[in-house]
Amino acid sequence: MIIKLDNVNYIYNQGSSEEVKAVSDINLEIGEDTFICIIGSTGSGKSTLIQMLNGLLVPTTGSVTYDGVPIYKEGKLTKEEKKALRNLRCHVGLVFQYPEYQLFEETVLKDVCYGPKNLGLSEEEAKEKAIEALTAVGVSEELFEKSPFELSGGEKRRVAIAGVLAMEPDVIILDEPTAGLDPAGKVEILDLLKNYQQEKHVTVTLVSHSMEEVAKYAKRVIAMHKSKVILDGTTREVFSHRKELEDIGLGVPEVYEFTESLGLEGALTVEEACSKILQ
Amino acid sequence: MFKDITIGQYYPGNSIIHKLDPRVKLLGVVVYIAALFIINNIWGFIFLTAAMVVLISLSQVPLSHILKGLKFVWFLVALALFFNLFFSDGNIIWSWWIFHMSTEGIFRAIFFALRLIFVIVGASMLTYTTTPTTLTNGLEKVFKPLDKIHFPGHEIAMMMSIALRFIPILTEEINKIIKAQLARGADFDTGGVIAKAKGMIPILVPLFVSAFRRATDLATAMESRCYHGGNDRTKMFPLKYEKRDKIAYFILLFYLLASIAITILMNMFLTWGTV
Repeated sequence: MIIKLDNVNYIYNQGSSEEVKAVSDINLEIGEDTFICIIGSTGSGKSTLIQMLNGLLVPTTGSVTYDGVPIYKEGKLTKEEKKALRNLRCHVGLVFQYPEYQLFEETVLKDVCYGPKNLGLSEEEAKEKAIEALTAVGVSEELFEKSPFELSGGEKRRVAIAGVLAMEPDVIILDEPTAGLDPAGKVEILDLLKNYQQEKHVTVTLVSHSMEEVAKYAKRVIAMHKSKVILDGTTREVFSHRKELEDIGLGVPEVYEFTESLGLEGALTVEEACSKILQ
Repeated sequence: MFKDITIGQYYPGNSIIHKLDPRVKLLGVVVYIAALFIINNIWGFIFLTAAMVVLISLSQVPLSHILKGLKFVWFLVALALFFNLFFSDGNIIWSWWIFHMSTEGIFRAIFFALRLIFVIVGASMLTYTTTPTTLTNGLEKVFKPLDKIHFPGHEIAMMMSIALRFIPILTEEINKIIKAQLARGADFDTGGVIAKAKGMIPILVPLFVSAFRRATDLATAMESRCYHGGNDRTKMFPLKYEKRDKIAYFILLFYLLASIAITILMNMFLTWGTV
């Protein structure tokens, strides 16, 4: 599944005095088998962009196509189009910030079943998918029958992510999945996402504010600034534009800065830096 | 679905109505609603509408904004219209099955609907033009004489302003939750009434959880700033009556008397007409 954005613009409160351009002239193609990070300071349009990727927001102008099929047409949506949009949301899984606030069922397992059931799967099939997803995010079996409100913060977060993974989307988009977690919890979530990506060969896209996380996990980086995509390329390519990134208040990972200041080529991870220094 | 709820919210402005003392406006709402129920003929409503038009234009709150606030009231209005229109006794002019229409019923339905709309518009003019803090101060002052009978005036004022403040917060929360559940393939549009009601559970449960969480957070924040109710608290901006407030009180008195006069005079006139 390839999501293609052509000259996409999104304007909030169009026509009123509080008009805000959140996203302007974006051309983007995502959907390949890789791990993508979207970076950008607050208010740069990341959240708006990711909501357009799964059809929650309809662009003001421009087109979004999925495998070449445009989803929106001008004017009001018909019933079929609404249905297509719903199907699409199942192929493009979106995990919002603090997803644990969306938990509502009596038990963890039932909550994760909600997504697959919405896809029209039977009780049994939904359960199967839910168990698979919960295992993938490392939630142990004794928690399945507990109330989601009894879990710890990190566990809730993983259950909520499982709720989206259980729908087996081709593209998974996560908005700051590690916000508010402790360091161990952060690493755990990112590691399981990376493993999931490599096993299932799907696209994992996440919004992150930590350049260290980005350097460690991403294969491709998209940098946004003032509603525009300013850099898009492999992690190394993007971080080689150190000056631009610093200008927009993002910067590069500390280890990258450190190795560069030693006169070496910038390293993305500590291991890489070690081997470069030893050489 | 729950976008831009404007009812009960403050509309920033600098008009004469915004500047009025909150106590004047509180009494104004009481007088206004009293007048609304005193009047019972078309001339009274014309007078009331004229007064409302003057008030709205003075307050500089756009009419479109006020109408948006009525969005959730239309259903109530329709319901009231329906029952008064088809189930009123009196001089019956049309009937079918259990429904019957009477001339009295038609008048009653129209007056009832108008009253409902006018009550909401009038009451929201108070919140559109008064910030929650000023409103709390005003309410507290109004409740002050009731201290003698241990009426918790400050607490009630505080609760009311917090409730108003929470409307936009919870609206935003609902929108977030709806989006999150849509992303999980939720379907709020299809199915019958029961299916739709069931579809609300994934929205309502997280909403209640978050409302309680926010309430606890707010309580903690207030306590950590040593909030302890109204006892001996001093005000940064104590309420003081200005000349305009006194004039406003006179206008209110005039308005109330005029409403009563119009009602009595017109009713006398109408009875004479029929004799």
